[in-house]
Amino acid sequence: MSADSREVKPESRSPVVFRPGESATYAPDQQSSCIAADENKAQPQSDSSSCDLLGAAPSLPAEGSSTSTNGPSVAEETAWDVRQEAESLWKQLPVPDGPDQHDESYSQMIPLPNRMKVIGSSVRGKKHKHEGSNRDDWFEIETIGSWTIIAVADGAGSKKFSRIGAKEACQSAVAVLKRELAQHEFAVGRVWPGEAFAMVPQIGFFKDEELDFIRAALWQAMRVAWDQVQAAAIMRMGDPHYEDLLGHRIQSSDLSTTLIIAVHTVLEDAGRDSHSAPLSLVMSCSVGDGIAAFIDMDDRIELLMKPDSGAFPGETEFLSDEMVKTKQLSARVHSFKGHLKALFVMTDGVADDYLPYVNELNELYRELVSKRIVGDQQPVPDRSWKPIDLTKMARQLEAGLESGVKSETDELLGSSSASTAPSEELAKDAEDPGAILERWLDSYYVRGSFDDRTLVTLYSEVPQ
Amino acid sequence: MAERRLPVYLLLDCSGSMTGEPIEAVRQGVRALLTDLKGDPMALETAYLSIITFDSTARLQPLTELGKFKEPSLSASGSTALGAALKLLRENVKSDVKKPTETQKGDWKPLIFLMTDGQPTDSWQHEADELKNARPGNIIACAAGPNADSSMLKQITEIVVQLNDLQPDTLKAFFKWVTSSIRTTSQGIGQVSNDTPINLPPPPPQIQIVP
Repeated sequence: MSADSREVKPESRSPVVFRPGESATYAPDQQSSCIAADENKAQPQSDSSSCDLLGAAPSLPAEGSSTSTNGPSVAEETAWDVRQEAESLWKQLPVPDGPDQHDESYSQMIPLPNRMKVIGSSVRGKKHKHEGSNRDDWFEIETIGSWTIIAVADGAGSKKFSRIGAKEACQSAVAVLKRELAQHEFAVGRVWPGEAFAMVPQIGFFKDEELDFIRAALWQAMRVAWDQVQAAAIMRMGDPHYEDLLGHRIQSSDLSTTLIIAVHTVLEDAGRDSHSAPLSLVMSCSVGDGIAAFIDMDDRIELLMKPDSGAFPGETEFLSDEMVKTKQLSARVHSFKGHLKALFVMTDGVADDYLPYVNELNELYRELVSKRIVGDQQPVPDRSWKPIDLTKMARQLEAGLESGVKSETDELLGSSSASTAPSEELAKDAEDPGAILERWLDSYYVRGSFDDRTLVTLYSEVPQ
Repeated sequence: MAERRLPVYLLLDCSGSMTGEPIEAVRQGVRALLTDLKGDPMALETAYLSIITFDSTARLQPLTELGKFKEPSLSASGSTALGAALKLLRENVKSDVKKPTETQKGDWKPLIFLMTDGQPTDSWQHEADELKNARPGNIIACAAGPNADSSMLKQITEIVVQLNDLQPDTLKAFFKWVTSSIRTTSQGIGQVSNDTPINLPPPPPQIQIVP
């Protein structure tokens, strides 16, 4: 049994684990008038506040319910906007103090050759904001030579320190890949027929040496990532802070995390096969859920992993001794070559909102294009602005009314909420689609979607 | 982008032995459960409730989203058709709950609470076996009071708890714990590894875990 199950008697084989330190509170019975209420009369919600023995007082409209003498009453249909109701209840607590604090959110953008770009962002989800806990997702992006290296990880929701695992796994995996792929460039002028990707049956090796080198690097990155997760736990074993919070000495399972790694390079420049976009290669390896997918210029979607799942959603695998064995890794590497429109690597906080992947990931791409996050357009902020009357401004400058000019300018520009002038915002957004991505991840609404959200996309800016 | 629901089923014994204070405490408990859950945004967005009551027969209030769920009117009389209740549960879970497929995420693993204060009076064994085979989700059974039989419940599920009596305070504590468990589950929606046992809040002193 897990070491968490302190509440369960040692000899029991109960499958239940009781979380230490959390208990329901039991308010003393105060309102005897409620107990004596007429049991045949349904009580409208507004009365329940006087019998509110729990202290919670949600603002709900009064609801009546029909009574019946035989069995439970049938629910009346009332108009209900769950989003609106929930909205008022969500708390926005700051990231808590303590070791291993993770920023609320972050983003990154790297321009690439061949008119491509890679951007990524990770934001703390509504659930963690509501509970006042840390973001558990992590991502890293690095480039070396012609390679772009991406790692995305999601710390297990049930594990208090999984965020450490997510960060350590990403950073160490990317470091390995950067080291291995430095100087590893394909022979100039190589062609890439389908047969080039032939694999040795059963063991997951590529027959082609140059490709197999990358496969080996991915395997090594996964293994080192798991090593680093374990090392991170060992390093913290003597620290009482962790033991106090966990109720036991910290162990690597407390840092459980998923991991997706992907590497990209261009095999042939644009025009080589009369296509306007270059020919890309992506190779990936993963343990856990989330998704990695390649969208080509024909909008075809190629999934680059088979997410781990159980009988019910929410059940997945994490990095472990078992998951980095040859038996596992040999089935976990995927590769694809094509004319890349966009590569997506994301945690399930986003992936779950785009099911089924075929069609919905196209939808995601369109969404990102419309928000000017990806694609060939320069981002513009979507706020209205009025043209500046330069003549008027010049006159006022001449009259030396500097303060007047400023307020006049502000009024003319119509900036009420922005503290920076719109032109500054424009410049900022024009340079950083990563920031727009971050804002979008933080704000899009899907019912029941309140996990941390992390999305990395490598995309072509070539016009479609 | 289908929404992902947490289906919650409550099976409540409304037999004659529950008459008076016990059934009133159950009413209060359900009312408090609804009020408390409706104050939790994660439960509001994901939890769907269904209540099955059973006495001489069993009946079901269909799976409804928490925000729209109306408190049932409960009364106690008659015998204890537990088998009928289990059958209703199994059939409705089968038709209600969406399994994950290539094209949809599926509902979260259902949470099922069963509370009974005495021996079943119908043929329940077969239904209990069918239910176990169906693996509908996490089932927590509660043997409420001195006449309840926890070993009987152990044939339905491994997770069995016991209430010493049917006092209002005890039943209130039970429903408080059910509420807390539902909240914890709707909050803990996120990953677990495939062999992780269910995570529930520690039960209060009035509830004993049956080993």
